[in-house]
Amino acid sequence: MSSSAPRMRRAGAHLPPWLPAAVGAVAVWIAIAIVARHGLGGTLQQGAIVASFLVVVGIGQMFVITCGGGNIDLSVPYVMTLVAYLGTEAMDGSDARLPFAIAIALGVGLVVGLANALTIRWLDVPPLIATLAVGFVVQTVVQLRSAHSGGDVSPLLQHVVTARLLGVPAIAAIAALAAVLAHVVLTRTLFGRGAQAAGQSRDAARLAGLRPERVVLLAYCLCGMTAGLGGLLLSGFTGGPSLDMATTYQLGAIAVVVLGGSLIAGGSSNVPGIWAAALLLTFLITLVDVTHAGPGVQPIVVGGVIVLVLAIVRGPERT
Amino acid sequence: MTTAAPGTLALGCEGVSKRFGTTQAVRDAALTVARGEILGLVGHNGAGKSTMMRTLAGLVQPDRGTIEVGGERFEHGLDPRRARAHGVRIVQQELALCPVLQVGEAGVLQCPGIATGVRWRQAANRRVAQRIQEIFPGTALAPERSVASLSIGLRQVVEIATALLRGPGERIDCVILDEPTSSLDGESALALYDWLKRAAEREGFGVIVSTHKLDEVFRWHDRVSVMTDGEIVAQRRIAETSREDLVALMQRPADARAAASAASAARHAPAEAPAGAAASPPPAPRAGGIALRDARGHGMHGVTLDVGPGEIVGLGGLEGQGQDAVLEAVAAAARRRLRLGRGRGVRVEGRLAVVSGDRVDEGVFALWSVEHNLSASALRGLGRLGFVSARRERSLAERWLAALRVKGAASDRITSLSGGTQQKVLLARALATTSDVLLLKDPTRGVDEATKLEIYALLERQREAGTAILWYSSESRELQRCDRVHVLQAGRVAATLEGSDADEREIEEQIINASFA
Repeated sequence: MSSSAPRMRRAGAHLPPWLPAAVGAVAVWIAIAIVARHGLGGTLQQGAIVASFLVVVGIGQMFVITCGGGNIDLSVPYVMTLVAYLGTEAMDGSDARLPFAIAIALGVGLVVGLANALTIRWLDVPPLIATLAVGFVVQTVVQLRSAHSGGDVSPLLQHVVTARLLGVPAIAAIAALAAVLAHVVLTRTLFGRGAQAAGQSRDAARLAGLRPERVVLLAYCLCGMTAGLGGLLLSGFTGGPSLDMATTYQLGAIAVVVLGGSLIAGGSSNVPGIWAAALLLTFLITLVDVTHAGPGVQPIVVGGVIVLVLAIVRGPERT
Repeated sequence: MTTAAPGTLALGCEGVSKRFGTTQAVRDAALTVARGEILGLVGHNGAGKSTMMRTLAGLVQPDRGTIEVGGERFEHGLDPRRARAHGVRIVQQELALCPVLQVGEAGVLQCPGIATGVRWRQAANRRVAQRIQEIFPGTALAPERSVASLSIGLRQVVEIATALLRGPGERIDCVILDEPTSSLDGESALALYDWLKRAAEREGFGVIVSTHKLDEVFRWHDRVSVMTDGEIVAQRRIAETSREDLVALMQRPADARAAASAASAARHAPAEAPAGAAASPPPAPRAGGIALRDARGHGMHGVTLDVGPGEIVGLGGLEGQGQDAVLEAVAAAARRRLRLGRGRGVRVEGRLAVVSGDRVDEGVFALWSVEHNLSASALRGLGRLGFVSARRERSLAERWLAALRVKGAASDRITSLSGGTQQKVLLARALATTSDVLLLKDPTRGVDEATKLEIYALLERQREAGTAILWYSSESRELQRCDRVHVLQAGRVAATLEGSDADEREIEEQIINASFA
């Protein structure tokens, strides 16, 4: 099957993998405008702000998933929450101390990323379990910390996540820039190629001198750092930390990667899909809200659309 | 046990055509195989042999054509279930076992009928072990072992034995084997043919087998069909043909040029390759080398050997005598050296590149283009700060593809190429880096003669540039190209043959002598 199956798959190869998510996002966007009689522009602005946080953490998750071999990072929401608490404390309402908070966000992410990677590598624990376990440890730290935690978000950070430049939300511009950067890293650097190669065949990557072990380690560190930054930005948006502020990002960060057309098994990923999927998920939730559907409807609709998009994304490979 | 009269039709086909995208893989092909007969299928890589065989076994649906098996005609191809029900069995070229299964379980997957009773695993293990011993007498292989732990040669043994299991009420009318001997050692290949010959006559099935080894054709086959560019260009009785005849029939127009231009391709490749770190063998002399001193572990029981700059040293012997362990140890030592300086008993100087004949597991990145596959090892030299220049990557790929005469665009998927062509790309991947030491793990496995010549010429060029090359081959006659051949037996160097003065037959004889000493 190795020789003929990929050839048959080529029939649909010219369609970009992120197309289903993008089409879905546009459809839901228009639906919201019709149902709620909002302007298209306003809906997009609001949606882009909320989607930006998903994009930032999704980028890190994408690199981990690209490495294949079951690599995935479930510690993302715990890192986000910890950074939100520590960062708020560090900023303490002062713009001058914002860089300090950013350093904390990156530092905490790096440490947790290292912990994830080394637990997987040295203790030979499957990534799913290892990152969840590390995440629980982080969560415990959060709970101990939150009891006597204070401080305020710096005004500048609050401004950044809510401000608009020429109608473009600043946070969305930051996430777009991050996406461009991530795209270049994925497609045109040794690290990005190494991650893709590792996801396709770890042995072949090793023999080709691409050092897959090091690449995986880097991917977890990167994922920790984007989670840290995502947590800091989110604390600016919510005006301060709370214990369950990042719960939806555990699956959200994974969903935007897979819905965007990246392979959950690794080896083939794309960045535009993260944006498309993040907008799709955000718009969907908005759509359910504006239709005033009952509280149980939201998960059903979101779940249904995810299945639908995945069916379309995976469709051509089956035939 | 249905035994049909020898000489009657076991399997036949007419007007079979199959197109993949823009490639006409098989064109209007017809062949027949009689019960008790071994039919050879020969041809260059990409000639359509595998597609032909997969079509007959129902794994590929033909665009047109009739298949006749077990007295029934199928106008629109077969599916795997129906093919098996009509007595067709296939052993595919690319090994297709589940690595997490035990050998016995792999047998159950192929033939559920052998798992009987509550203690089904024991029953299956017994049947599988029995089949292995029937076909490959003396092979030490416990059915409890996991497939993942087996060498590629033993996996082939398992694949053949499990494909030929017979459950209750099942019949075998035709056995199709796609290059079964390309990953078997000489003795196992002999055992396989010996068994096929006897069993085909006794049980009345026909055999279709593809191979690149013409010695096999003349020793074992009854008839041979020659494929060229998707067409069956000739059918011959073995008694009525010669080696020269077959080689001439197999030549496509490009092949005639291939042998002649292989050397020139190799000569020009380095010159045309881009300047800088990514260029193929730069003119500067290399100082790489390998030294093993009484190396032990993982199947080695004290191996001592040296490979100096500009030397090609061969590892010979039967499959699984520690050759893999030597290569693994060298690769591991090269990695370790980055941190610790040297490995235990193994010393490697210089940068290392590896080419494995195990394309599926250790070679190609199946989701990538030809270009990305080719450049994978050279990326570091294609830009600064870990970035890869798109322009330089494309030019590297295009120069190498032109030098190796690979048809198709650099942006095509690697899996759209035939196995042998993929192997050329993998060799180019290794040569496109500045490696001082080159490890070859049976790199010409399943590669046609013309491509082999091109690969030999590239290696020769690499030797002249001063690269130290350690070459394991399952094909003894390849090793005459080495400066020295170490024959391994049970993890030790059983003999060391100095090359150059011996011709291929002598080398082969000495290797066999040393292996059975």
